[in-house]
Amino acid sequence: MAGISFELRKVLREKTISAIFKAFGYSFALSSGPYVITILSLIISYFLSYDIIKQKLVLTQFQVSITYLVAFSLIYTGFSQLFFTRYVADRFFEKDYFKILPNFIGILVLNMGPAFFVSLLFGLIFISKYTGILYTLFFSLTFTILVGIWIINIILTGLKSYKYILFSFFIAYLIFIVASYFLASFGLNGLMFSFFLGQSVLFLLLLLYFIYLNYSEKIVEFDFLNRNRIFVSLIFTGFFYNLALWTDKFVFWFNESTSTPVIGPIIRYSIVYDIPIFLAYLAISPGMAAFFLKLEAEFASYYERYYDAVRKGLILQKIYEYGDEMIEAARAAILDTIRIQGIFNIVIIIFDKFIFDIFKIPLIYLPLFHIMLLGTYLQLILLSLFALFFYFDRRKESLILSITFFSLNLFFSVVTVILGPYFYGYGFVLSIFLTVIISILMLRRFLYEIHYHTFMLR
Amino acid sequence: MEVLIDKSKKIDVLLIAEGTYPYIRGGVSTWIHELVTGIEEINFGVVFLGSRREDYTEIKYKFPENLVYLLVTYLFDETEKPKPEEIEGDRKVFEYIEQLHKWFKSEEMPELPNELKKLDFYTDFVKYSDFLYSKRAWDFITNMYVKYALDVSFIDYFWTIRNIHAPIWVISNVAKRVKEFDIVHSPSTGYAGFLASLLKNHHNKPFILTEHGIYTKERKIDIINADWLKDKRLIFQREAGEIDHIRNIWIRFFFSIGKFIYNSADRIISLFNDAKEVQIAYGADPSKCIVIPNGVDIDGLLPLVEKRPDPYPKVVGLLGRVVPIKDIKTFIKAMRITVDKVPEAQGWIIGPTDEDPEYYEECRNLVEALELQDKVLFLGFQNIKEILPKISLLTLTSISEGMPLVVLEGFAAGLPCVTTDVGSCRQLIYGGLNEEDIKIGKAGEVVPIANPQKLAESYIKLLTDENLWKEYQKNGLERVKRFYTKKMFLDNYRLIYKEARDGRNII
Repeated sequence: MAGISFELRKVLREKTISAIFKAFGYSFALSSGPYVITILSLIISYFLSYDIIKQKLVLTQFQVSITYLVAFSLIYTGFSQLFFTRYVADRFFEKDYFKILPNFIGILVLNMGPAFFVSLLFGLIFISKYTGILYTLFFSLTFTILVGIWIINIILTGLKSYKYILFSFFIAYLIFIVASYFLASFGLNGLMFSFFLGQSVLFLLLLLYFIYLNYSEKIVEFDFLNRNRIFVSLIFTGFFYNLALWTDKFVFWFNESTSTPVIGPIIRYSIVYDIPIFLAYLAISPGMAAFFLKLEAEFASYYERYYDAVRKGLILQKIYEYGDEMIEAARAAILDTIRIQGIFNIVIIIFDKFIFDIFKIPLIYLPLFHIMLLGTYLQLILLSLFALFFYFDRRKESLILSITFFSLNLFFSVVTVILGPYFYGYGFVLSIFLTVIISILMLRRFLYEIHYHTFMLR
Repeated sequence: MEVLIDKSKKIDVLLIAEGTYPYIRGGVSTWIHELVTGIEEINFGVVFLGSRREDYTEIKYKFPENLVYLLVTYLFDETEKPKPEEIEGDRKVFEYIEQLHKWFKSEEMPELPNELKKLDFYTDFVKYSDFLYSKRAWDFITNMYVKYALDVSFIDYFWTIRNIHAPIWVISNVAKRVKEFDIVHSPSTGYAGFLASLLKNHHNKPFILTEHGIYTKERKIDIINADWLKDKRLIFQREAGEIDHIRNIWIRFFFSIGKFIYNSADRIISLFNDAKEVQIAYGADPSKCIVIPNGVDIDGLLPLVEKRPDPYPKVVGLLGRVVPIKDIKTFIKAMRITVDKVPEAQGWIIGPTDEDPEYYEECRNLVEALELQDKVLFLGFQNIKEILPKISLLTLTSISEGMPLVVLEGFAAGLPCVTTDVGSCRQLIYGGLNEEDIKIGKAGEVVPIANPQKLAESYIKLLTDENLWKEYQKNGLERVKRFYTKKMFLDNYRLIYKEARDGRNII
């Protein structure tokens, strides 16, 4: 399970440039792989089916549908993601392994059941009269499956089953691409079905693997709702964190002047905003890989060493020493992420026109893309800081920060929409910038007093 | 902290039981139970101070009518702690504490300063959460560590500091909330005595202390032998016989609160003379110290004297659990020597064998090795009234005792006793309560500990010389009737309570 850190450290031990690239590539695949696979598959299927369908509206309808499904399923599972990961981690710590599988099934049922009915109801009211009942059914089935996928995905990520996740995403999206090529002639329903098919395969692959990893005599249990075992703050942290990530997009989608309706009045997209921001997200994957590498290969071992020193009763001087080195490793992880992504961003800016040409994107989006690049760059830093807060189990800070991020993002995005096109994107950048500053101050304050927290307040 | 019994009656005497009554059976618990049951006209309240909730099961005693109040609390229980929160802590408070500490460290064996004797100090000045969670407390602990304990495992140091201090606040909390009472009576020093002292100082009520053992001394032995306090230094890092810093903290702590308790108590009662001398050596004011021995219910035992066959059976009985502290092995070895001289002699070990199965096994192996299978018998638990007439000599070979009631019970049942020289045994057997007591004469023999030869000599003497045996029997009966009856024990405490309530000396 903890094999990834070990493997990365082993590769890095060679101390050659090629070893570093190897480790970096490996980290890249494991950290951003599923996400990159998803976006690339959607782009590939777009080009493949364009020749068959030849109707831009249908393709846009499909892409926007998927974006909606992903966004809302992530926010929907936001409530469960963190607190259930914590539940599983605690059971692991207690070696109460038999509790894991039945409660996992429990949380799946609790999420997927309502997800199906809520999305079906939503579809029947707002969508079905524009696209038909079959589309609505695929819409809510896909939503339900996605909900399941996010939950298994976060637990398996927590268990560090990165390689298997990557493998499953690869298979699933391959199936999606192939299916969409053959079913594109059925129009929107064909595309929706191919996506649903791919996701179902993904869900099954992940689910079967999880069942294979765990054992239990019981099928389903709701012990995770036990008042003594629930961390309420994590429920809200997870929700606001996921909501905050999408807030600026929602603002642009649901504002008349920045968006276009695609299916009925409810499903909309923002031509000016969506393309630059998704490209900008794609651009931060090297930084994510860098952070992943630093965190897993370096920070994790310093972290373990510090808490081992505390537990095993070393003298205070050693505890201070290991604490300092751990803080140094945390700082290095953040700074190296900033450096590597910084260099990569400069490269992208140099070649921006070239990249836009490849994807056949109009150059009019270029200025907004540059702003978004800065925004996602900052968001990468924020993600890294959040990862550290979670590592140190700083629940209070995490909750404050996720709510801050959400509120600022909502406020500034609304302001920029009101101010007009010249300001688009700046709201997003400013909100993240402020949240990053607050996070850094909080992290500094905590790390400065880490020994006090470790001993006095646990 | 919870109140389990409150009959809404006035509490005359509040007893503080540390880890004993009513949850754990044993010497002190029996003593409390007999006191409460025996003095019916007085209403008792009990405060039970346990370690952690999970260390206790159910209440082991049937409460008498006059037990009107029971409060239980757990000194090391997580539920007694306030919720963790990040707090700064008051600079002035910690500067003051630093002064206290400096002074505390400078003294050889320090006495508690006056501020610390007041309840408000713990409830208003330094709060529990300040101690547990404040940043200043953390800085303070780490500074002390750097100054005095740099080579000690930090987590052990940290938890020692916490565990020593934490009960103080739990106790202060009890002291604040306990119901009104007339007299507080603690059967030990330690945390119970500390609570009693705070109550005395806060409510200005009389405080009576009865010590069954010498708490400070026992804690010192416990602490030196405690496995959980691992000395992590390498062997060449410490000097021979040196006690490491953490153990020293504990010992000094118990010493200084012991002294505080002695100073606060209006009466310091011990069970026998030697114990009184130790108390005085540990700092108790001699004018407060008196001896009130335990007593036995002789009415039920006296008839047993007549039931013993004549000539008396050549059986030496050891009444006690089969555990190392009773040193059963020395008894077995002494029996080997005895049987060589008196072939018909037998040794019976009467008491439960299941407490330390490993030791029991070792004892049985020793019996086999010494070929005493039909001479030394393990009888397990027996009804005392049935077994005492069947033996003619009672023995104790323990390496430590307080005031063993079994010796007194033996006297009442007409048994001379041979014991090791521990606790009050010398006083009980040779007489030592006062001049009159000494005049009665010997009721047995006292020999050094772990000395089978000397034990055997005494057994042989008493098993072969019937006249001597009869004389000792007579002396024992007289002694127990004159000085150690349960009625006397209860009357003594009636007097003590009356004296405390009236505020003058009677004894």
